[in-house]
Amino acid sequence: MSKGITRIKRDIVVIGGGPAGMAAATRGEEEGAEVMLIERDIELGGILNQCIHNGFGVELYGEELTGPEYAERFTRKIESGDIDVRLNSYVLSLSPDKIINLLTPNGVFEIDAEAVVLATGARERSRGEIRIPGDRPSGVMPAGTAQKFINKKGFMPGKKAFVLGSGDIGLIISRRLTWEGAEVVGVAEIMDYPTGLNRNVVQCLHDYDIPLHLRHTVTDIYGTNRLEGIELSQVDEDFQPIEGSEKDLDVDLLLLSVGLVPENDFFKEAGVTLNPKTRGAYVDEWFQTDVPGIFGCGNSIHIEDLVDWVTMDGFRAGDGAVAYAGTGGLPQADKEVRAGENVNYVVPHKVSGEDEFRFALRVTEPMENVDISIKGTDISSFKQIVTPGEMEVEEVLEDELDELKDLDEVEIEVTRRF
Amino acid sequence: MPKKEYTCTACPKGCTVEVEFEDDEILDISGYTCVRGKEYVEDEFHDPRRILTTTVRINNAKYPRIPVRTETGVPKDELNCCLDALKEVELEAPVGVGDVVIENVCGTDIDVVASRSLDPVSEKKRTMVNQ
Repeated sequence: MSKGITRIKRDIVVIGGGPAGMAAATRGEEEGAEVMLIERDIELGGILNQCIHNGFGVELYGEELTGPEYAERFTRKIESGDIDVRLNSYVLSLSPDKIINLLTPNGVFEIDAEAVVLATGARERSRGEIRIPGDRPSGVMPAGTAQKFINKKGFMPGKKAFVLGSGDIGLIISRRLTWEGAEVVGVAEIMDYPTGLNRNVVQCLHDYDIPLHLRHTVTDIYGTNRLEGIELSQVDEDFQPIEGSEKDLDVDLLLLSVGLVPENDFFKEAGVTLNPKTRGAYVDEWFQTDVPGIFGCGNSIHIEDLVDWVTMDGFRAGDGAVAYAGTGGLPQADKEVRAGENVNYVVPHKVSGEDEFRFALRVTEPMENVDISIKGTDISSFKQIVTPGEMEVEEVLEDELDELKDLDEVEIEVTRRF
Repeated sequence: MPKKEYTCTACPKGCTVEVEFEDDEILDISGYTCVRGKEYVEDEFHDPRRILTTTVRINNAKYPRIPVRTETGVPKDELNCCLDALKEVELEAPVGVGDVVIENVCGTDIDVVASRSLDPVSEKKRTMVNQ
């Protein structure tokens, strides 16, 4: 029986019910907007629900919460409020003029939104993206998938594991597997430094004597039905495997922790311009994309380290969406923000210079005793140590905005002091 | 004289700090570059603690597992005892975030608590979720 399509209007539609989307939606509701929050899973919270380790909320709440605890602070607020939450619901399309086609357990909806916030998170890079040759047995999967199996479903995906990639997810899953009785044979990292937090290297690897192989990668995969082993090789300065360095390891589980990619399909569909570096959208200081009224926040814009920053960006995007839906516009952001010396990328990509803003950057290499500054101004902040694995976040305050007045572009640079 | 090496976790720099000790007394610490590093290593030497975060079985909920945590850090040497104790636990929904799962786990004076809430759900719904 066809129910037909129900047409409805909303001030703000937030797509994605993880930390970014929950922050944007709650802020929108607080400011009096009619908000719809769409989530494809059976519950709100996104990836936080499977990140059962602690360490979330230090910046925002001054507490070390676990992922589910952090999520529950928001889900409780949302459940007791007036946000129109749609679980088990899937967005079929998003047009540049902000018409959304939505499939829900209660039928199909066409939603006319004043403003849209895309909080779609990220996907894990897969075996195909890093092109590991070899057989295609089961037992090779992204680390986050294994995390979901273990923490939510109660399945162990293997008994003897190897982890490729030393990002935080790879480190934390190594400890998790160990605690659940599996043996983690080792972790390989192609760079010459671990890319996850030092604390995690110590508490997830050193504590359990799990070897970390720097400048190594997996060069072959063996097994017909089930994974039987891998080949580990050392790499040279150009990250090419060194012949003769190969070593075979018997494992039945290979976890890939080789980075995340912003989930950017809806941005593309709506005609939003993407940044090739981050693979997320170009945004201004309100997280508005170059399609008016379409905002983005969290990992769908760039891969962040801390959920605290994701939440803060979500609040900001929510504020932006409220302003847009209410008045039809925000200050024109016409000053381009550029990544200068030693900066890999910086977000946002444009600012108006009329409002306070926060910028986030990643450096190109580990450095000590540096200044993070805006070129041609006195706006600067000293850091003892910066590494590509740790995002730096700085604020430009109201009383500093005068310094930006005469700049056509805002170039952010990181320079060594001595 | 026995020596032990630590990697400081106070900041991303990760200094390698060496401790010379006799029995449980520190005689010398070297390699740290700030006061936080010295304090970290003193704590790690005398009383290393870790927060344990894992899951236990739960019945009647939408998932077969519920995440739990120790309220604060437990002595590192007690982690295995805590894990073994938690393997025996089976909860029934509803469970609320913060509900005590094991009191005074392994005699540490620290409680293990649930780190999320899970409501009871019908069997039909549980089957749907776990497919």
